[in-house]
Amino acid sequence: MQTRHETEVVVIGGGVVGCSIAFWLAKRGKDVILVDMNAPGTGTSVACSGLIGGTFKFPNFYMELSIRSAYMYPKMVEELGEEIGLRQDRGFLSLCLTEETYKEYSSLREEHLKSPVYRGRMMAPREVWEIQPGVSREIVGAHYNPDDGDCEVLRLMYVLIRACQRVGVRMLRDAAVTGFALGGDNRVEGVVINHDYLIRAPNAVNAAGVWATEVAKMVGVTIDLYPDRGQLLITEPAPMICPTPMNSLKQVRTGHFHIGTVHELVGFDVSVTPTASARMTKNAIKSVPIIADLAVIRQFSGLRGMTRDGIPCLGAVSRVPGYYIAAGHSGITLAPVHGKVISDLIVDGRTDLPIDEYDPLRFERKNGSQS
Amino acid sequence: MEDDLLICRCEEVTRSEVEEAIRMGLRTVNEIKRFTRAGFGLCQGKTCGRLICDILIREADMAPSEVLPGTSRPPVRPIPTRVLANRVSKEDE
Repeated sequence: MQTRHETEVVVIGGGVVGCSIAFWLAKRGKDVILVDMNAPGTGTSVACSGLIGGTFKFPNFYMELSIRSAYMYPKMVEELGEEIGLRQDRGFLSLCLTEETYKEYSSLREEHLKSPVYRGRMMAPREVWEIQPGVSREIVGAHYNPDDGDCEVLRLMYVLIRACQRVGVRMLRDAAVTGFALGGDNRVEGVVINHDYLIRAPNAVNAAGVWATEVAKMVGVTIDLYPDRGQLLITEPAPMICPTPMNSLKQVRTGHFHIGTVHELVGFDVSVTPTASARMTKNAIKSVPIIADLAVIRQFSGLRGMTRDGIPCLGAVSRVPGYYIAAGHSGITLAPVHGKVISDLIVDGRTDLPIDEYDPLRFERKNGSQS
Repeated sequence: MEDDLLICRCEEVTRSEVEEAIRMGLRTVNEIKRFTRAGFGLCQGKTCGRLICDILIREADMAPSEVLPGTSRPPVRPIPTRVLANRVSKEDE
């Protein structure tokens, strides 16, 4: 097969995770080619809500890593050189519309309290209305986490793409990975693109998000990331009445509301449904009643890459030297961690972040299959 | 053509901003929409969509057949949220 490019690292997947990894690798002196089967910035990263944080992410070590990643964002933004609409000073509200939800969140909070990192608390309705005037008078209360926040994902995505281009990452579009060239000891020697040509490289990073399962299978690794479809509605802009991001609902800087959330197991189908828009608008109106008067201008969907244990894959694949995986929900929160960990592993051979629990091979061990 | 010509009136996106997107390597109406916000407004790209196709053909040197229109998303016209919320679907019954 014809070799068309040579490089030190091929990053597979041009979402926020892949671009963060490519950026940090290039920044630390590596020659990097990033490939995307469509184009950078066309998958899950541009069809999500852009929440950054650790609320109700379990086990607690996952919450802790998420909050750590959130606090890596300001420095990353500085390095990227452009604003991404980061909101980290307002915290994050999980509204309780019913007593049951209040009880549920209180008990989840009990679990989080076992971690020294966690600073969230339950909030009485009056306090919620003070920081979030648009919220319904009917709420029972809320969970508030001061360490969570959000960003504008489209800005984040394109700021990352531009930063990658600035530090010399070569980006290939319409470049689907269809195989790998492996050496005698199973070591990565190159990546096959479109069944057509080879990019020769000693390192490959699978950052293909929900498509990572397929790209892992090409080197005989089973990670079982599966698509969990979410849908989003965007309303026309309104005056700012909800400056704090909430679960399933946020008002962005430009005044538009982003309304979620559904979890649908329908494979890779990215169509949108009236059932979801009915359900999501009903809930949104209960949370922020004035939304009833706003018009919805668009509805779209995106695919979360979920694992069976709910935490992402991050790390080197020990039996395929040179092969790394950084994939799985939630990529926006963890993009700085993914960037640091993978660049640490490739440049220094080790990382000081605690990533053992994220070992991509853990699924094979649980299945009892050979590794 | 003037650089500050408005391509998307809803989101006030100019021709030079669309050209900047093309210089960055973006080659579809959807990508240009996400980068510039052209097509994100109340009309959802009904006017600017075709103008952007034209600019792509000229500036990115693409064949007209290679330039796909942006994805049309429901609702076709803005619909009040309460109307969507009142819809009862079979699955909800």
